[in-house]
Amino acid sequence: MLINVNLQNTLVFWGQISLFPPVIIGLIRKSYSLKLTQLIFYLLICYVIFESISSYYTYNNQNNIFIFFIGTFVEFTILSVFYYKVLNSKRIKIIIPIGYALFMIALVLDFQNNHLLSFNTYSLSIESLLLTLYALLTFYEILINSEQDIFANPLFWINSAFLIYYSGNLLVFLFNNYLYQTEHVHPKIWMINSILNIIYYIPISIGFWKNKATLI
Amino acid sequence: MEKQSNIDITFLVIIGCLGIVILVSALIIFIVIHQKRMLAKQNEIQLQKLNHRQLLFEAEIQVAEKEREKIARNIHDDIGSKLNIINQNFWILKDESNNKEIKETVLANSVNLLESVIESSRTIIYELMPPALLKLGYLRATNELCNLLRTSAKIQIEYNHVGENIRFAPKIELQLYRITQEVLNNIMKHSNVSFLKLNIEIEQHLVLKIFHDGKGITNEKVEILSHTGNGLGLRSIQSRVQTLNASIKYGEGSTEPKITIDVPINT
Repeated sequence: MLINVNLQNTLVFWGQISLFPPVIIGLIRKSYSLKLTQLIFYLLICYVIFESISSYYTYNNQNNIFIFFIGTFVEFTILSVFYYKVLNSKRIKIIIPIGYALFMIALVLDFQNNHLLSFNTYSLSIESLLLTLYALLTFYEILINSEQDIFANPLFWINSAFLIYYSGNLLVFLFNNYLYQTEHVHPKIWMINSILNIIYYIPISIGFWKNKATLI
Repeated sequence: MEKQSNIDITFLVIIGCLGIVILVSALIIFIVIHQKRMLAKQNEIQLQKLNHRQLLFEAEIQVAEKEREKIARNIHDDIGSKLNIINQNFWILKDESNNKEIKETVLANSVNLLESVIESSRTIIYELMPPALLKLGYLRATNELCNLLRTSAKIQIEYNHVGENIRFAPKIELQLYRITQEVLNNIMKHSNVSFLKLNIEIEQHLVLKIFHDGKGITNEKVEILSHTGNGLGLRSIQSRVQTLNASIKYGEGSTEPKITIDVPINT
């Protein structure tokens, strides 16, 4: 049990640390000035802010669940706009506003059920499901339209990060509230989230590095 | 009991997450491999197209060079030598102005030579640009070409034309004429024919069908030949056909046309 807690803390720590390389690379490569990496860069800045506030609340033994609510909302909004810009097909694009409406319903349901006392499991699950779908659709478009080497395309790296992270976390978010009730199970599940967190930032860093104003 | 059930669920969730991550990673790897293969294939096709275009371009230059060589040789051997003799004849006339017999022979010889020079220059002009093509257009010029072949190659030629007797843009008419000329030349050289029928149908497209009783050639053989050193004429035809946005089909059967050229009229 002690080993598990230590391992979990280490993973959470490295998950937070791994947020910095893409931010630094984004600053070096001026990702904030390029049309579409700009949104991802701002998302990372939001992560930095949310992680800082969340750590502050944890340090003071206060409930930081509301950060998850706000974080999920901001994250999904930014990523919906990102995918709306990235996807070319008008037919596919229709899914995004529909998905956004579904997500908002889930967020309201979460708020009504939990009153900011436990995780927003519905909205997190819907978010993961929708972003996995968007990422798959983006891959479909990349596969059809791409005329350049796929590894040179920053969108490939960024999209891979979202696909792996959100599909991998889907079950964690789905079972989160159920498993939250049993303390000895909960940390083990969240270790998956921490590992995926570390993996998540690697392709984003590569995507930022590869981006030379050719994202679309 | 409850603890056992929770551990089972934890295990299932972890395995489920791992499974999804592995599946998604496999999907990404598949996408990468597929895209790389697609790109390699595209590059190969592009390279082939480029090589083919290069071949056609070289063929065009070679044909033009050969034509120039032929014209230069004709002028040098035929017109040039005859004019030299005429020049010498004038010197003889100057030196032998008192000898009436020599004077008359030399004059008669010079007149004959001059007529021959005029005839030769007419032939060269015809080869360069048939006057009928400029004045009367592709259809009449092709008819005239058939008449010429009928007498020179001594074979039976039938010329049929269905549809309007229209004129095309001069550039198109010239390309069409050169294609027809080269195709007929090839047939005379390689097919061993005694009868040839040339059908031209004009509707939305100009369709030229050539039937003959000689040896035909398949599209596959043309493709192979046009990539070898001997396929200069074929490459030249192909290049002109491409310029007109047209298509050419070869055949070997006795009832089907041996060559079909389909040209969209609005080009």
